[in-house]
Amino acid sequence: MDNIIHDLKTERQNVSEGLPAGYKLVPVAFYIISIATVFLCLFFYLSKKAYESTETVMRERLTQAQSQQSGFVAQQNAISAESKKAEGIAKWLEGSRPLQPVTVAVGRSMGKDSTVAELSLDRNPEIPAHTFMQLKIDGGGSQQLEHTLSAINALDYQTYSAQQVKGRNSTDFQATLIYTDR
Amino acid sequence: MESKDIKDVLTFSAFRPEADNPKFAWPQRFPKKKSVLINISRGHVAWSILNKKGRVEDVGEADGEFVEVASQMSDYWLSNTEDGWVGISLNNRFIISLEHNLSRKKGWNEELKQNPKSVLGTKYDRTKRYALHHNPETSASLMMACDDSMLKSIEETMRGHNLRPARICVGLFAMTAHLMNRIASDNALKKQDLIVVTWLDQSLCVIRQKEGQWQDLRCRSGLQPGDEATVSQMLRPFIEAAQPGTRVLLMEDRKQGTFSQSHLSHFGNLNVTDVTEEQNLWNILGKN
Repeated sequence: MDNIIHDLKTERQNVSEGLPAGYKLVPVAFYIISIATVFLCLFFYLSKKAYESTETVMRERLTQAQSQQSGFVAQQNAISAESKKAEGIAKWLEGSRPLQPVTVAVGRSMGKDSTVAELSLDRNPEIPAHTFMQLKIDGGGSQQLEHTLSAINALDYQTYSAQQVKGRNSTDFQATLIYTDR
Repeated sequence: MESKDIKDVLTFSAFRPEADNPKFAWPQRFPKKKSVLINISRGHVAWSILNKKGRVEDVGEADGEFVEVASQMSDYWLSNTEDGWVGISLNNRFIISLEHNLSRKKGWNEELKQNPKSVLGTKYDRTKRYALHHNPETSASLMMACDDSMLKSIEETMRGHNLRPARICVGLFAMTAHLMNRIASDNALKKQDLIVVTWLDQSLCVIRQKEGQWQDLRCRSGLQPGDEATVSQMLRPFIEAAQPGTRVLLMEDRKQGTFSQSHLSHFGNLNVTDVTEEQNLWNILGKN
């Protein structure tokens, strides 16, 4: 059956029959891409929001950890300072050993021909382990001095910066005594 | 390329035929769009608003020539159309005749518009525009001729009101062709002795068909209301030649139309079958 309605109007030139159906892929692809773009934008937006909230939490935790760390460091510094003070006191206590045994040992080391003319023991207040000794022995000569130094060594004292001056019948000796814990 | 072209592609309207492309049926030209159909008779205009589903939503009519009615109704029609496109059914100043042995070579439809003389031969008149409907089984054809000046006048009037003709056809010829096609596709009807009557708002076409042959045809457009004598004169030869088994098939533009109410008595004892459906004219124009 042919078309029952016959158009009688004055025909317009170049009347379009429409684009080929295959070209519908163009707008379809456009809409698919548009929808995908919207979804991707939404996905990225939500991801960014999630990242920002995570970052905020991490920053808060970092700040909290840093404040904790600074607290710990302050405590550590305080302890270190206390420790140093304690060490100083301990060293001082360790250094300030009684000097009476030294004087006793020097006195007992004297032979029958020797006497102690002068004995001076000065402790360095900054370094209490260092004791500056000045000794003048009349008679006995070098032997007596060696004997006296051996007696001092027997008390675990070492002599440093020793100087010895021999007179006609006397010997002047000075040295720094340092106690050595064996 | 303009932004409108891009918009047309994205809305898929670029893939549909233009509203005034005659190669496509009305629903293909206005898919999911409202449209207006107008029937222009002598001194009377009727219209129908088709909704987006192509169904009749509203109908109206007014007495007066098209020029007068258009000046009053154009805004209403425009508000119910897409870009001012309307479908026109011309129901005045045309004649349908029965012809034989007209050219049916391929592309005759286009040829009828571009070079009607090559199809119609000596029957061609340069002041007319033509439409043809061929009998698929015989050499007979229905030929409709309407005044070229009438069509131009309608187009001019429409332009004056920003309306654009998507289609101008002759509603009675479309109804007749529709009914003849229906008969041709029905084997029982095709073999019967029939008087086929089509009536559209004071225009009448009567065809006698016997054993599939179109034997006689009479047509008048733009009859005066109440012109009983002319109708009687047109029907008389068909009724006089009718056999007792002759059947009358009647199709009007609407159910219980003017013909059913005023002229059925002319057929006497003949079996009259009214095949008119609700909103018959508008449905035929809106679906084809």
